[in-house]
Formats: sequence, C-alpha cells, structure tokens
Amino acid sequence: MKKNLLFIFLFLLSYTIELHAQQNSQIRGSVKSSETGEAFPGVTIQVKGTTIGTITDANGTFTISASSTATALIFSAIGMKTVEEPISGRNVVNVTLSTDYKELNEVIITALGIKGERDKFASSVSTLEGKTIARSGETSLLTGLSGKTSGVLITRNGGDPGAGAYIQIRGQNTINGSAQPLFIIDGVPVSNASDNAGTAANNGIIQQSRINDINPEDIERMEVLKGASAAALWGTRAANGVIVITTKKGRNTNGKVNITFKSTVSFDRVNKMPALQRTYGQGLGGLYQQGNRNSFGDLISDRLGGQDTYITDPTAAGSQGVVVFPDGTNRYAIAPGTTANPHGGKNDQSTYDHTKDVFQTGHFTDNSLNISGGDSKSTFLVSYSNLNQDGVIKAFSNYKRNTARVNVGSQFMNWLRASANVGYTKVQSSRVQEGDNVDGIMLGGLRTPPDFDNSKPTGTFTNPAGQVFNDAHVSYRNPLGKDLSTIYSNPLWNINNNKNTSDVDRLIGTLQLDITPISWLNITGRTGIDNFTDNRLERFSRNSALYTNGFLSKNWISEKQFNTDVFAVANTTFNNDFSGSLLLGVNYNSRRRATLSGAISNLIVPTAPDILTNALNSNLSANNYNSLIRTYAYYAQAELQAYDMLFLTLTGRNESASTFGSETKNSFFFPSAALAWQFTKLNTLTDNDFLSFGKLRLTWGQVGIQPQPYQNFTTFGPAFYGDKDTFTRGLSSASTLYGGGYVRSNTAGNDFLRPERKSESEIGVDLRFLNNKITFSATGYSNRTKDVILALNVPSGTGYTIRNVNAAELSNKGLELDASANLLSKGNFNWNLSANFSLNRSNVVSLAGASVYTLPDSYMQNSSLIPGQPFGIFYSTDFLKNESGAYALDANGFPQGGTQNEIIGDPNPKWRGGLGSTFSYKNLSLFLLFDRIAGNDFFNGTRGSLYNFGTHGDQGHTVVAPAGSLKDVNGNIIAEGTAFQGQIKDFGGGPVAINQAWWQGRGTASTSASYKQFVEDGSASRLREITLSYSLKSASFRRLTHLSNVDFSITGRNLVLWTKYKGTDPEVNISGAGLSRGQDWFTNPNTKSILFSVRVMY
Amino acid sequence: MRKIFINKIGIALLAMQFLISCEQSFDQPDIQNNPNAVTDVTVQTLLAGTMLGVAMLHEDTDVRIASMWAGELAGLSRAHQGFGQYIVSSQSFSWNVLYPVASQARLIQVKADVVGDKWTKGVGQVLEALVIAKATSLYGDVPYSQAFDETNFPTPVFDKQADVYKALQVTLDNAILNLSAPAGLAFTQQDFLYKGDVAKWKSAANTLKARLYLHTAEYDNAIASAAKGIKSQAANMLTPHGTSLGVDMNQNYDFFRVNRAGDTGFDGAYLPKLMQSRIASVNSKTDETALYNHYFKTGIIAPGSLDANTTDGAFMANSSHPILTYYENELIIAEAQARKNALNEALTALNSVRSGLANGYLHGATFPAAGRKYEPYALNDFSLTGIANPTKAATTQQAMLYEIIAQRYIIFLMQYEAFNDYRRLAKATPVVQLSIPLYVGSKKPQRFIYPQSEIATNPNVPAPLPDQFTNVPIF
Repeated sequence: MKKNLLFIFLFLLSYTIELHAQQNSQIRGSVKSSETGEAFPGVTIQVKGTTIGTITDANGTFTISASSTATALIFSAIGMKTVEEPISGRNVVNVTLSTDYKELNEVIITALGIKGERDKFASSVSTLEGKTIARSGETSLLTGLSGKTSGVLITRNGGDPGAGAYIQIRGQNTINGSAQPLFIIDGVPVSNASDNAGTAANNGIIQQSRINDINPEDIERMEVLKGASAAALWGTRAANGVIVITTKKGRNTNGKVNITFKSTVSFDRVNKMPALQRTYGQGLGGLYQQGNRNSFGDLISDRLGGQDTYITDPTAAGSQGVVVFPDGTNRYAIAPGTTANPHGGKNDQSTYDHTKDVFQTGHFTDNSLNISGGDSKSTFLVSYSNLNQDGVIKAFSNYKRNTARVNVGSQFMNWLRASANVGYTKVQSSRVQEGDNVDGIMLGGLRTPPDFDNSKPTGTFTNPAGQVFNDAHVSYRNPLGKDLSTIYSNPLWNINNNKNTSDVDRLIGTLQLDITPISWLNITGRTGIDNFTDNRLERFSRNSALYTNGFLSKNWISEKQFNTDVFAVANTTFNNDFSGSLLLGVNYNSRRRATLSGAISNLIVPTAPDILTNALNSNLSANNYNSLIRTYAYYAQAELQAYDMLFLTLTGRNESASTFGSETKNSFFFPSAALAWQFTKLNTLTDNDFLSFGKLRLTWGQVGIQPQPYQNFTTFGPAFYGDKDTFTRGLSSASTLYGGGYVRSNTAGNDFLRPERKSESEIGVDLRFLNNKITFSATGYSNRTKDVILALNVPSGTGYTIRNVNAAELSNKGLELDASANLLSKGNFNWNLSANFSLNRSNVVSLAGASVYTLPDSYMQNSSLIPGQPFGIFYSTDFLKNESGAYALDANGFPQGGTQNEIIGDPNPKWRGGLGSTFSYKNLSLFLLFDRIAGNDFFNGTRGSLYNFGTHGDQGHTVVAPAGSLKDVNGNIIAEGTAFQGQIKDFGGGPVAINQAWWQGRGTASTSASYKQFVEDGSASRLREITLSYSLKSASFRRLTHLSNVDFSITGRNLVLWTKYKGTDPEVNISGAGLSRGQDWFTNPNTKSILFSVRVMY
Repeated sequence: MRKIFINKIGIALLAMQFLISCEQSFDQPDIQNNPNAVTDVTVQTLLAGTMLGVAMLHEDTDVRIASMWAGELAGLSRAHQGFGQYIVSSQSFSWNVLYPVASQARLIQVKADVVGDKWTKGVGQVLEALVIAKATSLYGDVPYSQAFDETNFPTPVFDKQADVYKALQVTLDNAILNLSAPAGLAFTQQDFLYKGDVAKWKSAANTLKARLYLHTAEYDNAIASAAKGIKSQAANMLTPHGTSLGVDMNQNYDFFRVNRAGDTGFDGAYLPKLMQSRIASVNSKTDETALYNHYFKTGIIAPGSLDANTTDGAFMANSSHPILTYYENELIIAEAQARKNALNEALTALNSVRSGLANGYLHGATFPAAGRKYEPYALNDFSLTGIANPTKAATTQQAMLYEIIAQRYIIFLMQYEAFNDYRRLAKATPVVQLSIPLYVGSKKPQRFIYPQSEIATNPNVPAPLPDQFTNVPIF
C-alpha cells in the first residue's frame, strides 16, 4: 500500500516537473463560418493530445495556451466539419469552418447500437436525422417518418390527436400478431403496442402507438434496418424490420452549457370530408317524416319556408310531447308528408352542413428545453418537453405529452466508460367514438338528414302524459329526445358526454458499461427496461345510443420489458491488406404484460364519478390477462476487411423462446452474410472525375417471428356468444341466470409451434458522382417467410374454427431507389433535391391447403389471403355475371346481387415515391416534400353505407324521367316527365332509374349484393411538408444577445392532397394498425396543419 | 500464463452459470401453463356453457333472417333491409357458433362417458340434436356423420339431408334411453333450462323428435313422439333473460331496441296483417287484440312505426325466449292428425293451445285479458260456412289445417320454425298455405347459403353451390 502511495506521489511529481520543464506559449486566433463569412462563437478548441481546451467568444476569437511540443489544434462545433489545424510554430491561428452535410451519412448505427461506417455497410439502411422528424409537424414520431424513406409505408390510424399509426417495411411478412417492426432505443428493445382492449375495440376508439411516447426532439437519429441481414442479430423479433433510435447525447463543450429552447404552435383542420347532399329532407318515398332514418324525403326547396307547423296539443293525433332546449326554444312533433302534401308540417327550408357539426380548428403547443454539455471525460443532457394538443373535434379530443430525459456518460478510467439514458413520459389523452358504432361521430353525423339541426343535442322532454325527463338526448332519429330512444347519437351530444381517456406513465432506461481491458478488445454490458402502465377509461352516459342506461369501463394495461446484452468485440489486423473483428454476445429478454379491466352497465346514479360501484352486482364484469415471454440467445458477428475495398460481415444468432411449442426443438439458428465491395477503389477507377464513389452490395439473412404466447394450449373459458355477426351484444355465462358455464375454445392449441422464418436476399449499389454532388442508391430484395403461423380456419364441422399452425408461406419482392443531388450552388444560393421510390410485390405462396383466409380485422370487403395473390386482397361480392363476364341483368335492366365471393380489389400500392427539395439562401431556407402512393384500392364503406340513408352527395340530384318512362329496381314505372331524387344509369340494358329502391337494396354496402361498387382508387399525392425557416446567427446578433442562434420556421403539414378517392383522406384505416389495409367505415378524418416554431440556442 | 488460465476458468464458469440460468428462465408457472385460462372443466360446467350456446342459436341473426323470409318480420335498414330483400351471399352466414356448440354437446357426451353418467350424456345428445336440426333444416346437406372428429375427419363430408334427419332420430332415441337411467349426476345448478329435471329433458327430446318427423312428413311417428313430448306449460324449454346488456339480455330486445333499432320492423310484414284479420272478424271465438299488442307496439322507433313490443310485451329485456314448447308439441299433434284426417284428435290438440292462450300464457309471460279471446272450436266452425274458415276452403280438413298453420305461424314469431313451415307447407299434402307475399321479386327464398369459411376450407361442400332460391331436399 505504502509502496503504491509513494509511486503515485512520484508520478505526480514527475508530471509537475514535466509541466515546468516545458515552455508554454499563448496562441490566439479567430474562427469564421464558411457559409456566412461571419465570426463563429462557441467553437470548441482543443490542443491535440491533451485535455487543454477553450471555446470561442461572441466575436469568434480565442486564446489558448499550448506547450511547445503541441502540434495541432482541433476545432469542432455542432453541424460543422471538425478541423485539425497544425500549429507549425504560429502564435495566431485563424480557421474557417464549413458545414458538415455528410456527418450524418458517414456513420451508421447497427442493430446492436454500435457505430459502423456506412461506406463499408452492405445492407440497405435508411437513416433519418432527428430534426427532420421534429420538423415534419407531426406530433408523433411514426407519422414524422412518412414519405422520407424508400420501402417504408406509414398510415395513420385516424386524425385524432395522438392516434397511432401503422408502419410496414417491405411488405407484410406475417399474419399472426403484430406486423410492426421492432423498435430499439439506445440498444434496448421497447414496446410499440397499440392494442385495443375491452369494449373500446368494438367502439372504434383509436389507440396510440406506444413508440410515439418518445419526444421527437430527443432523437438524434433513426436507422431503418430494412434488410434481414442487418436485423438478423435480433432473431425472432426482426422479421418485420428493425428501427434503431439513438437519442441525443451531450458533447464535449469544455464545460460550456448548451441550452436549446424550442416552441411550436400549430393550427389543424380536417383536410377532407365526403360530400353530402342538401337537397332532400328527412323521410322516405319523397315524403317528409320527422325522426325517420332516411333522407329520401321531400324536396327542401319546395317547402313553404318559415317556422314548422308543430302538433302542440298533447291530445291531438300525432302528438309526441315536447322538448325544451336550454335556449328556451322548443320542438314538437311535425305531421308527416302525404301524397297530397309531401312536406307535411315541415316548412323550414334551412339546411346544415353536417361535415362541420363537431369539427373546429384544433391546435397544439409544443415546448421543449434541452440542456447539454460536457468535458473531455463526461457528458450530460437533460431535456423536457410539453405537448398540449386540442384536436379538430370540439370536445373530449386531446393529447398531452410530457417527457423528461437524462442522458449521462462518463469515461471514469481510460478502460472504463459508463453511461445511462433514462426517459420518462406521461401521456394523457381523450378520444371520441368513431367507426361502425352507433355512437360514432362520423356515423351519426354523416347520416343526419340535411334539414335536421344537430346543434341542439340536449333538452328537457315532456311526454303527452305530462311526464318530464331531464337531460334528454336529442338526435335526428329521436328529435324530441324521448327517454332511452336515441338509436344514433347526436355527434355533438356524444363528444360532450361519452368519454374515452388514456393515461400513460412510461419509463425507459438503459445502463451501459464499456470496458476496454486491452486496446484490441472491447466488452459492452447493457441492460435496459421499458415499463409502462396505461389506465384507460370508457364512459357512455345514460341515453347514449349504444348503452341507453350508461356504461363505464376501466382498463389497466401494463407492460414490462427487461433486456440485457453482454458482448465482446475483438479487433485485429492480420497484415496491411487484411483486418477483421469478432463479436460474441448473449442476449436475455423478458416481457410481461398484464391487463385488468372492470366494467359496469346500467348506472344507478347517471351523474356519479367514474366508480365501479355505481351499478348492481349483476351488471358488473371484470377480467384479467397475463402473459410472460422469455427469450435468450447467443450471437456472433465476424467482420473481415480485405484490400480496403471488400467488407464481409457474417452473423449468427442461436435463440430459444418460451413461446415455442413444447413438442418442437427449443432453439433455432438465424444466420446472415453481407458483402460490400467498394469497386471504385480499383486502380482503374480511382481519381475518376465523374464517379466519385461506387459500392456493390450483396446480402442474405434469416430472421424470424416468435409465436404468440400460449398458442400451444387448447383452453376452456367462460361461455360468451355474440360478436359482430350477431348484430347484438350477446349472452354471457357470467349472469347468475346461466350457472357459470364454460366451453372449450374454438381455437385448437398446437404443441408443435416453431418460429416463423424469413429469408431475404438483397442486391444493391451505392454511387456518388461529380465529387459527391450526386448520390444514388438502389436496392433490390426478395424475401420469403416460411412456417408463417396462421390462425388457420378449419371446417367448423370439426368442432373447431381455428387451428394455429406453421402453415403459410409469404413472399415479397421489391425495389428501392434513393437519390439526392446538390443541383445548384451559386454564391449564397443552394438547391438540393432528394427523391425516393419504392415498389413491393407481395405474394401469398401457400396456405397449407386452405383456399382463402380472411383476415380477422377486415370489414365486408374481406381482406384475404389467397395463394398466388397479393397479401390482403379484397375477396368479396360483386353483382352476378353471365358466362361472358358481363353483369347478368334482371328483367328491369338492373344487375343482381352476387352470392359468391370473388377478387374485387387490391389494397397494395403499385409504387410509392417521395420528392424533397431544399432551397437555401444565406440563412433562409425552404423545404418542400411531396409524396405519392399509387395504385392501391380502397374500400369506401362510408359511401356504401350513406347510400342506404340518402345523405351522400351523389344523392342530391333531381332528374326527370325521359320520354318512354323509366323503371326502378323493383319494376315500378316512373312516368315520363316525373322528377325524382336519383340518377339515370345504363347498366347495359337501357336507361334505368337509380332511386331509393336501388340504394336501399342492391346499391349499398349495407347489403352483400356487390361490395365491389365501393372499391375505389386510393392513389394520392400530397404536399406532405413545406417549411420555410430563417436562422438568425450573425455575429452582431450573437454579440447583442449572447445567444448562439435563433431559428424561426413556418411549416405546412399535409396542406394539399390530390386524390380521386371520394371519402376522407385515404391515409387512414378503420381497423388501426391491423393487417387489413385500405378500409374506411366512418373513420375519423385526417388533418392538415400550419405550424410556427422558434428555436433559441444559447 | 497462470493469470490467463484463471481468466479462462472464470469465463467458463460465468458462461455455465448463464447457460443454466437461461434454461431455468423458462421454468416459470406463467410459461409452463397458460395463466389466463383453464385447460379442463367438469361435465356440468361444460353443460351450462353449451346450453348458453344453444340458447344463443335460437335468438341469432339466422333466426331473424328466417323470420323475415317467412314474412313475419320486415327488413327496413342496412344489412337487414338487404336480408329482407333476399340479398345474401356466402358471407352473410356463419357456422362459427353453430358447429362448435354442437361439438361442445358432443364433448359433454365424451366427458359423461368418462365418469359413467347417463343423464348428462342424454342432455348432451338433446342439445346436439337441437343444433344439428337447425343446421340441416336451414342449410340442407350438412356434416354430421363425420363431424366433431378433427383427427380422423379434418374435412367432414356433407351428409344427405334425409340421412341427417334419420341420424338425429337415432341420437334422440339414445338420448331418451340415457335420460331413462335410474340415476345420474346432479346438475340442477348448471341447468338453467330445466333445473336438472330429467323428465322434462325426456319430454323435450320427444317434442324435438316430433318436430323432425313433421318435417319429413312421417305423421304417425310425429304423433307418437309428441304424445310423450312436452305436455304442460311448465315443461316448456325457455331461455331466461335479464336486463344486463351483453350478459343476459333477451337478444331480440338487444337487437330491436339497443343495437339495431329500426333495422327491422313489422310495417309491411304479413304476420300483423294475419293477426289483424282475426280481430273483430266473423271468427267470433277469436280476438287476437291482446296478443297483437303483446307482440307489437306503434311508435317506439319512429312516429307511427309498427315495432316489436320491447316496452311491455313479448320482447322486453328480461322476456324468456322459447326453444321447445307445449304449444308447438300440441300443434304438431294437431297438424299431423289433421293431415291423417283424424279431425277430432286434431281439434282437441288445437283447442288445448287455445285454452292456454285464453289464459294469456305465452312463453312464460302472461298477456293482458282485454282483447283476448280463444274459445274452443267445434268441428263445424271449419265447415264451408263456419266461422273459422276465412279462405272458404272446400273441406273441413283443409279449413282446419289452415287454422292450425295460422296458429303455428302466430306462435312461432322469432322462431326459425316459421321459415321451416313456410317451405314445408308448399309440399305437405294436402297443400294448405298462408298467402304470404314476397317482399321483392318472384322467387321464394328456400334455404340459407353455405358460409364462406366452409367453402374456403372444406372441399366437401356441395358443388355447384346452391343459392338462396334452391330448395333443400326435404322441403
């Protein structure tokens, strides 16, 4: 011990002596920016090989003392190229820094979170800077990726604030469970759950995607690992691709603290709604009828005008009582129309635009603060953000997100580095009902007749007997607000009374130790957790349409993920031409999920707080679910480098997972190989003026998908009968009336389940031309997933309806192109262009003998898998056809309802592309991003349903029967010269009348006659983003304010949409992030926004 | 050198430790078992669950489509408007409840055999027959002989309808035999239909046999079985209901009032017209006013609309729903005897139903006395000039048959048996039918279409696929 102390003393002494022995000199200088030519404050200057450093002051000048042995100074600043300037005996060193455009592209973060060199990487990886996501104007990380990379398709689940999104990389590779990619944050997998649980699943509540809990401002960069070889080290979780997110870290600023504050305010509006008619009133057969569900009533413009004639006498025929509204006005029954007087007592000619009833200009504010800094040993970053959004729906539609993050790292000793990243997120949000749901705002709203005023949703109802009912719910099918008779909610009542909230607390943390015992060996230990709880509440007030006596449900969802990796990397150089590295590691992962829910119906005190005791015991139900999945794996990666131009990477992962069936082997091996060849390093191609860089890439890899937990068991559960097929809410053995019966599950368990296995090959080139001014890369891929676990429908005669089997085989082939060019660079003016293009062709290779598998979350267009067809093709009805394929018309000249299914559409796009352009002049820049999705079919169920009701825009026409009269679908003759609500159409048998009879029979998506008539082209082009920004960073400004710079920007998000699709913006999907794509059934609309933001950096 | 050796041992030990702990990490209760479900239950528990499925199958969409196609109910909006216009396709139908419920009934029998119990086995057989009887009467040829045996028959054949009817009689005979055993497991608590009363199960089995014999026009057998069938209102097989939505609410209330209000109704349907014709008519022994008001009520959904009486009538949330009843049993006897021209026996059976109605009894409920009149008929009421011969049928037999089928039509509201009658009566001799109009077109609906999921998975589905206007073999 004493010996050691003495040694240390001697060491310190010698160090001091050494310092004294050396001659120190002061070096002065200034730093300028090459872009502006102005002084550059805040640049870090370090004496090479020492810890001595300083930063430039507000004038861009510095003074540093360096020993006479110092050789060079290193100048670095965020976003600028680092310069190593030799001192060469000078006392004054002036430097000009140029912007570092390439910084982002030079490195790549691999699946394990390790930095690699992009130019040596063989698999196709898209990298996105955090700021491009933050700039997009999307509050969520997922939708912020839209249109920016090739091969990645993103669809939002709806326009609600905080709505989740669907992300698909290179087509669909699985059928069972989630088809979403694996998300890795700072090396640790995190949850992107977007489950819908409880009754909310049926009631069309759009849930969030959990990855959106991450504050986009915290993201440094994101890599989308599209190819199997890049992702293979994640084995059975990587078949849908891997997205690696790296959060921002502090940098060495020599102790200076960088502070960035950003504030954004956004204004959002609905961007597109279906067209509605305002010509014909409530009723049917051309006659007005109060309270009728249809809008096939009288011609509104023919009414007398003025106040309606009410039946006010309670003893009069047709009296229904009276409703008194809060503003003192009232409404009584109105006599129905007759053949003699089609208007009855309806005189008022007013009409209302029901596409606007519940919508407003929504807005959000987003403030974030980021404080970071560090010295040569330790760095830190602290961030906080607050997002507060009120959606485009007037009430109960909001999203509040608070995030906090601490990222710290320290090089404790020259062989030990430790870092910790911890992020906490709190999300609170409310959403409204949508979709196929009698309380859905779009369903009730768009079906409302144009002459019914939805703006008075509540009142006091007095029936003819004099009984008074407070809190009446007035809707178009219940115009006087009779108690418990709502049928369809008034959307305004719904948004003010029915409540759906979600309250999320989430903690994600990683701890990492890097040990370098010897120069060629690095050992990393990394442990992370991702825990969240989501407390959801659903409340239907008394007199809602679905739960007339009220309903309350509370759901508690929690997920806990624990992940540990330990790996060692050894580097070696064999000789001048060959070098390599070897990585060996182990991974352990555990995921627990638990849900607990309780629900009551028939509330005793309708106005009580949200308590589960507010009902009789017989109206209380509860359930819980738990799952545990564990995985462990050993992996290895070998990298070989030859002649500085050939780069070979081999990986292998041997994995065991607890969800594999007990009768199958317990571990599976997932290999990959990737070869990159920088052919421009060949002697004949070096120093080529045209081609500055060229790389050829070849990869192959295997990844998998784990079975869902517990699919190996055949279980028994409490009997419950009732689903969407029954049109009722069903019967449950939980009732005391039914003796608590159980039944065997209709799903047969399978002890032989093994992981799905996807093999993918890629070939690609990366090229750069004209001194890197133009870049181009192309990747072709082909993948095939075998042993796809399929909830295979079996003939119900067997007693089961589903058996989970490793049965199906799917394949995808595709092409991805990315290009960018620095088109013009003249003086202070710069024009950059970037483009991406991708196409994917999916194919269902086999279904283990089944001819069709219909996806469970599809609507009546039946998104299906059929061998030889693309994934999720629409397989449903069209009108009957004769042998020649033409419609077989009936005697009246109309096509007849089909009874068998056929292919009626394909929701997969033919291609997708994005085009971005940046113009910059000095500190001003303009960014534009267009994208297009082409050739995808979309099922417009909303139009198909509205036809049944007569409110669609196509139904507001008055036509006159021409000479020779017309027949309608029922054979009724419309005499020459008779005007009617409808259209004249020729199906091939001469002109016929399309009128109420058609729309309420074969011409609607409410019947199975032909769903094909509502399949539309969903192609869309949009101006996804336009951003104008100005950066204030002149030297005088910096001197004046002591700020480093201030950026202002205006962003337009989703401002222009070009599409032939007749419904809302087709970038939505009613079944959320499920596998069935391209279906609309009263989905809440999408939005467009304008954002203003300011970023202040100190 | 020694240090390196120690390191190696250390690493090896660590690696071993990790391997062992990895293996052990799967040794968890939540991995070895499914923590969310049981993997087996007792036969009584299965019995209760299966009964619920059988109950559901008598109040489901199939039943409502059957009611519309029999002209009792009208489709007015959305999907049901299409069904009401006979617009259906293979995706309008599903066996995803039907066959699995039948397979639970079969599983009851397997489990009963394991514990050597005859009674629960007998009940399981009755439940199985109830479900398959529904399947074959609505769909024609269906799987039965190879059903419920996934291992040996992954794609069961579709048996000829006549063979299914024969097999069902055998199943029910076995059921009666088992239910006649002197002792068996107690299942009073689980049996929400008959509270464990084996005698009632036996009578229900006989009534079901009689129904099937009536379908196949075996009138002597029908009479013989019905004689041992449900002989009192107390032995009716009725599903009890409560007021909890999604739990125990009458599915017709749920449909008519809650989930699909106004999608169907009785405006334009034939049943209310038929009943109206029996109010203040020459038939002075009959007044259907009370029953009419029990069934229907005006203005619930919209002003003036004729709706199911969900307020104070047959379709309240807690109204019981019939599966097999005394009235049906007696009307089977009445019709079978009338077809054999044994008119006195037929009259006795018909009058026993009228006597029940006269007391206001229907499916466990009592409808009001005002406007309720069902005096016993005499034979001469069915003469050419009799008060109960509205169609002026030439023979007493035909007039009485008309009255019997009209009574059946009225009793069977929201039971699929009304649609079976609608088709059967076009063929049963002498042919006597109600003049039920078609809602649209000129083709009578004759059957349900095989579900898409069967077409997609079972190559034995009959080809070419029959459409909804193609007769099933027995009707």
